[in-house]
Amino acid sequence: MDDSKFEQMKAEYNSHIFRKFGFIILCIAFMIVMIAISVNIGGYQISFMEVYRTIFDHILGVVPEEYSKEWYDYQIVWNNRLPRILFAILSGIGLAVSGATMQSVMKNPLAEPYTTGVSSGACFGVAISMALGVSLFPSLNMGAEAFIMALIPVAIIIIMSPKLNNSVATVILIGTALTYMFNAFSTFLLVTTDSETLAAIYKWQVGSFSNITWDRLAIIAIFVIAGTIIIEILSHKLNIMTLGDNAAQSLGINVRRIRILCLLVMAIMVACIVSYAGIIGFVGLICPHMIRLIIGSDNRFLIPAASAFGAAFLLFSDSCAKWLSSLDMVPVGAICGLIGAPLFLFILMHNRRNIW
Amino acid sequence: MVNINESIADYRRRENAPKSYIGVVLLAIVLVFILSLPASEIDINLFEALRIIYDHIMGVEPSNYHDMIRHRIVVEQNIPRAIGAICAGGVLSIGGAVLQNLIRNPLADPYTLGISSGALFGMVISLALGISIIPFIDQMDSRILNAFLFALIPTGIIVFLSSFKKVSPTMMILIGIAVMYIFNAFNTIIKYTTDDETISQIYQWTVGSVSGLSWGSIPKLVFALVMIYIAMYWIRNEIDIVAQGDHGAMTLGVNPYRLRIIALVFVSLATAIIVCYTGTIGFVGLVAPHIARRYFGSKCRLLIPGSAVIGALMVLLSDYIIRLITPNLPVGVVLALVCSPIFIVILVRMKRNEW
Repeated sequence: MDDSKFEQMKAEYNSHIFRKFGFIILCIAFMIVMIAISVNIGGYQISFMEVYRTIFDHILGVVPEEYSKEWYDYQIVWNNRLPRILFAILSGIGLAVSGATMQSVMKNPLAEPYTTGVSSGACFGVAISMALGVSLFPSLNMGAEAFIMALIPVAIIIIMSPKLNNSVATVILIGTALTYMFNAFSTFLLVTTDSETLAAIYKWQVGSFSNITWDRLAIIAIFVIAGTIIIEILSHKLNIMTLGDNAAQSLGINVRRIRILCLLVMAIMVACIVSYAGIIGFVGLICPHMIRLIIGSDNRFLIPAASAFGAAFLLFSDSCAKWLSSLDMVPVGAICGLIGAPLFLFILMHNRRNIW
Repeated sequence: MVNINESIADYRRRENAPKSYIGVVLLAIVLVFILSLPASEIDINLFEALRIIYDHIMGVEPSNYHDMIRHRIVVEQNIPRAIGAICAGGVLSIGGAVLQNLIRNPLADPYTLGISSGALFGMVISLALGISIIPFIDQMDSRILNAFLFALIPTGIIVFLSSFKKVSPTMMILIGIAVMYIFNAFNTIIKYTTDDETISQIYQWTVGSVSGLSWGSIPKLVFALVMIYIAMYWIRNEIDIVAQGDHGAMTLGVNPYRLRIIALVFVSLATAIIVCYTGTIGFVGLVAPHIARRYFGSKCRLLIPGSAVIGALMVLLSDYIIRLITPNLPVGVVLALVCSPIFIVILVRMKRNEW
């Protein structure tokens, strides 16, 4: 092969990679801008400069006098708005990354994080404690209980997996069957309960980022970031697995073990998010597809791009929800659908790539 | 060459064995149907129920109050309810089987097209906001009509967009899902802002139930079942060909894009009819085809009738169980509770893999 052709190919390849990095950087930049805007959105009016001064003061260690105006500002900005923003970002990362992984691992474009039954397990936990007033784990709060219940369907899948045949479709169908079963349990409770409790559980289900504190946020951050890093480390193996199970096995990859590992990491990540934020749809299913349409299905880039895009997207949606109604009357999941679905259709119709 | 005759006979036997399974399931349906005739809160035995039906056919009017109540329960509640259950199960599972084959995805079911959320949106705006698309009809009718019309919108959008661009089957479904999210967003916002009582009402509808069916709605449900069965059975060979891949289908002279659109339109029409009367009965559309695949294979010639009878039996049986235990439980709950363990067992024991 002559040199000039080689150089040309190299340049082409570089520009290809550069495009992908460019997309990720663009998403991160957008996210940072959104953080800056989002701290200003809220029911309580604080002037633009005041917000940043409060944050800097806190970082520099200046403690405002108690019950002064600065103190209230500080409480709202530092203990209400910032955790919510960070929570939205973390949820975006967690959901989009697990959605992308789930689709790659299960080789199914309709797979999403909730296909494993995480959401229905969590919902069942909440339904039990709210409708029956019984706590399965009395020492824990409702979030922790939802977290444990969320992991039960995945645990069942993992326990059963040695007995299954080698097909991914079986795993995913068992996940779906478990989802339906746990949903049926909670529906059974919901139908028999009074309409007030039903409305309360419904409102939990719809999801919101508003009830979050710094110490819970820390736990979620640890799980989500660790999970994302693990999946990114595995990403080249996921790429090989798209060749098919047999090919991957002959290249020395233990397909079954990687699948279980991914399932476990995803489940913990999503369970964390769901148990405090409720069930937020869309991000886990459609966002990975948008990114696939834009930068392709290479998992090494897909995972970071999904985390950046998911974070930016969910933060943007949550900011819109906050801006529309400061009393949390507009659920963030609805905004996701309203903004995201037309965007997805637009990207789909303006794209040559056929990804699945 | 004796062997050829033997192997032909062997082949015939294997081809025809599943047909007898269909007969068995059909018998089971008839049996459950008869058993479910007297099932209600009032104690009626089977012979009494049969006599009531016989009297009804012969035109004998019930003479006293005691008979009249029984007559009403058996003839005007239980029979339409059972027929409705059979129709709903049949339509949803045929739709699921066809879509799974055409999209080549085991997770597809009729609701993946966005039908349920569209129907729910029509329902919700009628119930919560009092909006009716076609004015001057009473509230119940407007709810059903709204649900029906909105249920068709996602499919309309899929058909509209795929007329501009040749989208892959998965992208088709994803368009449906995207539209579903838009409707769901509106549903959520409306539900979120409405009062607790309405939420509870909407919720009942979401879960799906056949308990409210009357004779008036039965012709439409039966029509939906007959329509989807005939239409899908008509194009069964083409579906099989497309299921093997678009390129192969094109060389064999089948246009996969057109076939998919045709199938999509029929499935969503039939499903929309079912959904607007029964609400969204989940699970059966996804699971019945998979159970059918286990016994009948993935070829549409047997898969379509097979999933129809299995789906019908599932819904009918669940509804029967409900009537035996407590009348107010939605059928979707029992369906998932009873059938998902069975489904999991079947999946675990499955050696051969259809996907």
